[in-house]
Amino acid sequence: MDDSGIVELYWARSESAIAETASKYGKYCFTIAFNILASREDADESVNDTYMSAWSSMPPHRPSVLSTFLGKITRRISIDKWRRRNAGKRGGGEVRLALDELSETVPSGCDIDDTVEKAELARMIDNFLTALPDTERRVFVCRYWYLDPIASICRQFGFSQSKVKSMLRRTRGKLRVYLEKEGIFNEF
Amino acid sequence: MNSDIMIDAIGMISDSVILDAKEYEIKASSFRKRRFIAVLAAVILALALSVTALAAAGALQGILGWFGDLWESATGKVLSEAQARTIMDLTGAVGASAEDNGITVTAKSVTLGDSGAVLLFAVSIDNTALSADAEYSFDAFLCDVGELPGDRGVSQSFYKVDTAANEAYIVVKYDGGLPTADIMRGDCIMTVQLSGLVESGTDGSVLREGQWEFEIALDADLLPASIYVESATVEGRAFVSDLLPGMPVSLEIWDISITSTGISFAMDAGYEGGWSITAALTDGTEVRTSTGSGYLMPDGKTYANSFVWEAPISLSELDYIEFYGARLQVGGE
Repeated sequence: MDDSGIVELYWARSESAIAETASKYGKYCFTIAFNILASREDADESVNDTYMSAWSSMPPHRPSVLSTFLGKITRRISIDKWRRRNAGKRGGGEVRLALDELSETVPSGCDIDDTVEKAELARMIDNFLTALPDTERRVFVCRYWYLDPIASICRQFGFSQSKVKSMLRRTRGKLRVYLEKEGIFNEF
Repeated sequence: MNSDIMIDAIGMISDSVILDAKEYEIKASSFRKRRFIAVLAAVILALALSVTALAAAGALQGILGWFGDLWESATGKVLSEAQARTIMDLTGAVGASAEDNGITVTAKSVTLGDSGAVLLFAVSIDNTALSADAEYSFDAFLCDVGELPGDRGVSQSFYKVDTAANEAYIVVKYDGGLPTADIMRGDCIMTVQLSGLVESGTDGSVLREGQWEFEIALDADLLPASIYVESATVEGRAFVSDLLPGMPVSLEIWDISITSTGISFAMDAGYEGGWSITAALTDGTEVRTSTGSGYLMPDGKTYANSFVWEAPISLSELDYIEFYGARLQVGGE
């Protein structure tokens, strides 16, 4: 079934909407959740929560791209779950590694300006990514949106670990310079 | 705390950027159920071709089906007859096999573009029935063409498991940019090294170790014909450095070569990146580019760009090329 057909099922309040979603995007959502949570049980729970969230939000929403609509819900739910699970602890897995790596996008001695909305920051990151060469952008998105392990990115692109790591390090450096020019950091 | 804000903001980036990064995986899983229809359509088209093409159709049917899926995923349509003929013209059967540790890998075909190649491999495992639900990939792969580095623009995607033949099909794509096309025109050899077989649904560890190496002749006769345009003024995006996205600007490009697999052109090195190029076909279908690369030429002033269409097109069906809204008419008006 195509995506518009699945969205229609949600709008018609048909329970087969969930089954169709699971059939087409279950694996996609599970991969995102598993990357973040590193637990099959927790990832299954996140995917089920994703279906419930989609059920609650359609209507009124009518997403133009169903895969990323679902993927964004899964990612948000899974990261929230990861934060709750690791509250007060350092935690592990790809999220911890990604957070450590992303700390390099903020200059030392600075904080992101409180007045900058996440949506505004997302728009800046979007502009930055759009201007990157294709491969550099894709590797960055695989690592920090999909939270893919480095080994998995190596396999997808056919690069060595050192190449992926150095490419990500260069991109993080460029992002830091770009965001500095956009003036989103405050010294503390 | 700062990196928490960053990771949340990255979660809100645009759908197109998210989709683009994983296009092959999503295609592989989403289109499995419709694959039979796409392959059937491709086979019917192959049968409709000439007697000479028909003889090769058996060997090339696999890659035609894969391109059919790619096209359907990009445009929602099945390949046209002209397109299927174009793909077959670009494709040569290989048929070489290598065996290691009970796994036989066969290079089925090579499809040449002017900046890269698409290779179809079939994998079988001794005394093991492959599951239709499993997906397979190689743990590592390298392609060497002439003196170009082997890790340049190589990617793989799982195609399907053919339970009747008990084979898994994996596509390896090599995109080397402009210099590759020049080397390929010299009828060169591509060395492909594959190692380790990975099965999906596991933790990503290698199912079985092994090394399979192939030397595949790249026949320059398979390279696509081109439409040449001396120069044009199009919309681009200026970059004072590679750090800052610039404003859209009009700029002159030259040595424009449009083929069924992509487009290449030269421009002033002061501008780079951020291209949005679409091939519009006469039936209204719009085809975007999937990958691209650029090289600073030895004069230090000229940047040579090469972009690959999402799937091969037939030049006979090409109407115009669009660069950020500026139109380069190439078909008859």
